[in-house]
Amino acid sequence: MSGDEELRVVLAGASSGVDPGRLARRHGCRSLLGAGPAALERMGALPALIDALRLARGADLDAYRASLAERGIACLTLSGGGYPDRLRQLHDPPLAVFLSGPRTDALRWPQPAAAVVGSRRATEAGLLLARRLAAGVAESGGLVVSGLALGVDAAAHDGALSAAGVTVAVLGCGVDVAYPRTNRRLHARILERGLVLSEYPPGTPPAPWRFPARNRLIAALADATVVVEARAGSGALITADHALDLGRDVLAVPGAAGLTSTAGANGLLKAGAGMIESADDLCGWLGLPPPPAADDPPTGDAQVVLAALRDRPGVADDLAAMLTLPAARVMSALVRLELSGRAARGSDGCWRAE
Amino acid sequence: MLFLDELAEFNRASLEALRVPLEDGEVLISRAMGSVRLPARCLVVAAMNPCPCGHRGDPRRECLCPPGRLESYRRRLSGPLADRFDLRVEVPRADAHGEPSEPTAAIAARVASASQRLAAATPQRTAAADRFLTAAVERLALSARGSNRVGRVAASVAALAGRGEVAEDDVAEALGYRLEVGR
Repeated sequence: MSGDEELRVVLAGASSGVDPGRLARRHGCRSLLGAGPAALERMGALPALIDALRLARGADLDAYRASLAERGIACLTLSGGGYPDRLRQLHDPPLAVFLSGPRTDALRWPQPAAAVVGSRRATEAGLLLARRLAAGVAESGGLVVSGLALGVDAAAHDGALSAAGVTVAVLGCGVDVAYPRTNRRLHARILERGLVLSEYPPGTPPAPWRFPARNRLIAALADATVVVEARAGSGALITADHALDLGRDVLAVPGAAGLTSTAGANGLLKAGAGMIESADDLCGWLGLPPPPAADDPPTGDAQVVLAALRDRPGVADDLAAMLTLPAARVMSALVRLELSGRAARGSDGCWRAE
Repeated sequence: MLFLDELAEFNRASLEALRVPLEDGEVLISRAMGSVRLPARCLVVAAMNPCPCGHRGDPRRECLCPPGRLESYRRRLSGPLADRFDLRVEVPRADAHGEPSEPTAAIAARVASASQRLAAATPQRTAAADRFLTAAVERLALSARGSNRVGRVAASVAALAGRGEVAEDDVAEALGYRLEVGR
């Protein structure tokens, strides 16, 4: 079967914990599997990989494929059919990718795709914006790609799903491994309604070195990468670098000057990244129609409160003091805005315009 | 009144044990020798930080909590337990130079007259307020318990304002006192 050699090498890589990608690109999977231990050592293979390759030669791939199929997991290899073109554009495309979830059509999505990435310790404002950006892209028919990490990634996936859109989660572990645990429900929702993708075989545990590597797939699957809140040195900046390497757009959400939480994103802007402040901006960059606007502009208290929120987010009491309105009236206006989807309250209690 | 300071610092099992007493207003203690029911009808007030470092949401300070730490802090309080608190509000940093608030005595008088009003007759929702609550329950996916509680808080809001009827705005205000805490 075509792709067998790649799959054997991938399995050897997973069982040895050594990435065989570089050797496979240089020498080809066939020679890796055909070479003896001495030859492999000369190629630079680590002992663990040499052992694993020897075992992988005899692995029963039919049984392995059957067990994947049983678990609803598809496997696409670089030389086999259906391998995503976008991943082929990487200089180091994965030898194989494993997929789980109903939306395999996401890999040939006809509309533009955005990678929404950022800090794992984002502020509530960052989380809401990530959610809003993803929801806007999804509402306009675009695809949302991210890495299922805590913080911005999770908010992006959640935003796309809540807008009944399609989202792809690229993992640094097996597609069946819910990591981080906090996101297990989100992981389950994506398995149910989106697509989970990984270059590591099912069951592969998370390891620190796999996460930077998975970022290149996130960048490759998207037409543009948006960085929402990133510190200097954040993994999201690695994704942005990969996007640049691929010649894709790099976009960033500006943050206040001088805060460590936004230094990374602001650095990208300084270096010439496109600036994104709203879902409309992002859809504009992607060439998607703007997401449908909410109907009936608010009136009365709600109008005043919304204008204040656009100016500066805050807790209800502070807004009331600023507007010199009774707190009760401000609270009821805020709830009306929440119900019409124009404002949202973060878990820090701050209300923000959507 | 039972005041639990630093609610998220209690262990989760102790907190979960509060659920039934909060609901039933009594505690059932079972031991080998038998069991005893004790009255536990009290007002429960609890306080917690927005995050372990305490700065989340503060416009003047940056929250430095590592990812995961915030989650595990919030997880100490389960969603169903959080649901049993009728009023969940955020308390921003006190401003030392702010306006003095209304005197406590004036608030106490208002609360006393509102409780009298509530004891005499529960204010009923207007038809518009009822429709508003139904739509909000749908939109916010509130549980039956949650919706019931919002109704009660709205009645208190109306009573505090000295009104005998619960208006749409009272329901909207009541819906605002449901800050998301816990998981």
